[in-house]
Amino acid sequence: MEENLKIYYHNHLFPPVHYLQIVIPKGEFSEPLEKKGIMEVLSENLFIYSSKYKEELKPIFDREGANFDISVSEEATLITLKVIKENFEGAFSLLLDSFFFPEFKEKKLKSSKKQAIGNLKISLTDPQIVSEMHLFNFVFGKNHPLGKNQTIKTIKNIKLKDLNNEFNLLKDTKNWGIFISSPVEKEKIINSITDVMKRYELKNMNFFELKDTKLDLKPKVRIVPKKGMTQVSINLLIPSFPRVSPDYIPLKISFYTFSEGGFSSRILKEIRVEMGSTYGVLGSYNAFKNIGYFQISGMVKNNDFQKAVEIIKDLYKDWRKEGIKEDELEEAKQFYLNSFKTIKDDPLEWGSFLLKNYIQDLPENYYDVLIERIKNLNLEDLEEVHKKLEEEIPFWVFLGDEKIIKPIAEMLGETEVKNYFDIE
Amino acid sequence: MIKINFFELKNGLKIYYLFNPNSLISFLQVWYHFGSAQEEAEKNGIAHLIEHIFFKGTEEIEETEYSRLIQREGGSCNAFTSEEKICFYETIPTEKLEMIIKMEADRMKNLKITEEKFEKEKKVVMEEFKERIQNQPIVKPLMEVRKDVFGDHPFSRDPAGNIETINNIKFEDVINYYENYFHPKNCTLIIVSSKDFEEAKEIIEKHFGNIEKKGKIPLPIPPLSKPAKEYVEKKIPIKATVFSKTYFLPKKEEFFFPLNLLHNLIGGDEDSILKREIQEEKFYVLQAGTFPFFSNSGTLFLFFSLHLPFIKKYNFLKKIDDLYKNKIKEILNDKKFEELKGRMAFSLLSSLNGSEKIGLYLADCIISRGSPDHFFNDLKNIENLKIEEVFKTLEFLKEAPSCEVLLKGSLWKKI
Repeated sequence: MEENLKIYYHNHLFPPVHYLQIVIPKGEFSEPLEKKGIMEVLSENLFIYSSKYKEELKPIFDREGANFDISVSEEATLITLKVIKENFEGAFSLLLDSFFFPEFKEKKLKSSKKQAIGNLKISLTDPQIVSEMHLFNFVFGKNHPLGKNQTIKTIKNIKLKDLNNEFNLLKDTKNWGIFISSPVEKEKIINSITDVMKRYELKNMNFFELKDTKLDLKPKVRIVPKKGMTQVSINLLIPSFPRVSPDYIPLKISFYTFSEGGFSSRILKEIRVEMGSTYGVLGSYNAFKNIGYFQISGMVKNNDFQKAVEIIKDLYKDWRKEGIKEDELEEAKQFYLNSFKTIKDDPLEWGSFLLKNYIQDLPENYYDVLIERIKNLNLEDLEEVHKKLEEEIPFWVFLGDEKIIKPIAEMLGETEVKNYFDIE
Repeated sequence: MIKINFFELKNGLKIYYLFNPNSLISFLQVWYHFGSAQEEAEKNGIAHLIEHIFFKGTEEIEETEYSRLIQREGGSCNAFTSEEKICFYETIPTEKLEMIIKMEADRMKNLKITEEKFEKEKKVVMEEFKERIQNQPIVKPLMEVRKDVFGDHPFSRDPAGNIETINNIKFEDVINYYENYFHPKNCTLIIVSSKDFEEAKEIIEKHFGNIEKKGKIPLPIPPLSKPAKEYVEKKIPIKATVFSKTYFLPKKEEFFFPLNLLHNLIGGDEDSILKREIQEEKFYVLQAGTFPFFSNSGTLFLFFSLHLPFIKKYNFLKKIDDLYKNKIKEILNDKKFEELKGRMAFSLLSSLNGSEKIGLYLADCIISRGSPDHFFNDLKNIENLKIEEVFKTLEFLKEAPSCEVLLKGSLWKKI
């Protein structure tokens, strides 16, 4: 419709419910560092009270046969509205009224801060989560949105006026994307959406965009000692390419074979299936608009720690230099091409895929481009992009028994030791 | 129109088939009616170990190929073990439904278990235990207090087992358990698919129909009637205190919606009583909530709270008491009741986005609650629910046997 609003339509027959998602390109990357966690707290405080309504909003949504959800990722805020077939316009108006005219209250803020602190305290008991927090802090540093972790202090720093400021930025962020999966025909539902949207003004404002970051890529290791651990947590990061890069798709396909493909991946086959030394060491390729990296993490048996590290190191070198085999390429291609049937089966998953493409400024026909590109990929394409990756794994974090970790860590590169809770 | 077909093969395998013409994919669940509560106590963890070994190949499929073949088609597969069941499930594009039916039938009868694979997978299961329980300072004590809470009841054993009992498991035990409990008569298939029912039935008969494997039906699990202790206390090495109070109720379908509604009202929803209490709380309650657990052996209803460590242990108990005496009666009027009913019905309906979600809900109706009819009747039953039934269940709940567990954080002290 308007130049700053894009609507994707999807039709489903069952259940008799509309699923609407709104994506706003403002997420955790733009949080003030000293108030890290504010977007999560803000999301807990939205759709609770509105100056347009005297009572709390949740029972009004109930009466409209609707419910909502709001989630925040690094790059975006996603609002989901589910509404019974007959009540779309009323519920959508209610959603937008509640969004554009929110009321934040001290009592609710206090409670959501408590919840956030509670969640954080629970997370901090999990060695794998703490190890991951250390990894980002180690790689990007405390002055970077990826390296600065949420702490009790940053949550306590959040005040009511901060919530209002952050909300104003969210509200005024341009380029909303909308996805609707509906049991109603396209024209009718799109008209309903546009009719309601016309009542609200979407301003054009610039939004925060995380820039690519120059990193010192000399191999280095952070050791996080923790007594009594019967396993070592391994977490490593290798810089890669952002989502908009032409190298993203070939690397995504190739990384499946290296580490992202579960039992199809080389790392899991070696360390779990052959050695029985882990429940899982798994990789993920995290690609944002302007930054991308591979992350591999898992917990391995203390006695097999050294061997597991050597295997990961060797497998990486081999994968980077020699690439993957024809049958592995075919397997990874088939996985991604066929997985869209599953993704499309769930309207909310399909919507998330489309809206993520949208906020990352990928072309309108990106789905078709992606499919074609995957179909046509060959081993030479992969060889080219592999050359652009680092020769050695540059960042490692090991959490566990220091005596076991230290000698191995020192062989990998420069080491530093940090306390378990020293994640700021 | 969505329709559920049921049929049973001569070998005793039961199949529930939901034809979902609106989808391109199929979701298959294979439920074996055997879980950790039916293991020998000293071999606790064997059901979970066998779940792992199911992915280690058959005469026809090589080790690790199971997952790879499914992933190659864009599908996914996984499994879990509970106290009462083991479930294997796969999502797959519908044109490959026969492939996974064939693979599931194959591993029901032809699992190729070698000593070498057994030993390696035992190590993997130990590492899973360490990762999920032993090295988790909140989870580990929770597992340890199961014995105090459930006493001699087999629910005192965690499905994961522990290092000692996993070590006790021998190769021959796995073979015996596999032969005894993993056969058609002890299994239920639940499929949601866009494939025509008659066509799918023929495929199921073709692959499962010729399985003559016979075994035992596991002994029934005794009902969860009461806790072994009324109060359990333990220290935990973290700077927070966890408190819970669990009520033991018999398994009754008539509790299902009233307890779910009470859960939403008391501690499940964001605007529930306990979540509001946190807002007004002068002390240091960080989180609080409720959780209902429905099983074939009984129903548990759990209150929990997470505090900063220096908290009066009975502060939260007073709150629970106050809920029963005053708060619920104060808040649950006819208007609120209708709101909660509407919310529950809509949450159910709107959660059915996709074949997998539909399949999981159907399985809950069949496996946990005993009938596929719930799938079609639940919305109507919510509509017909009366406020009196909720208050009756509440009376039942507050009189039910219960157990309090206090996990004292490292800085705990009475104030």
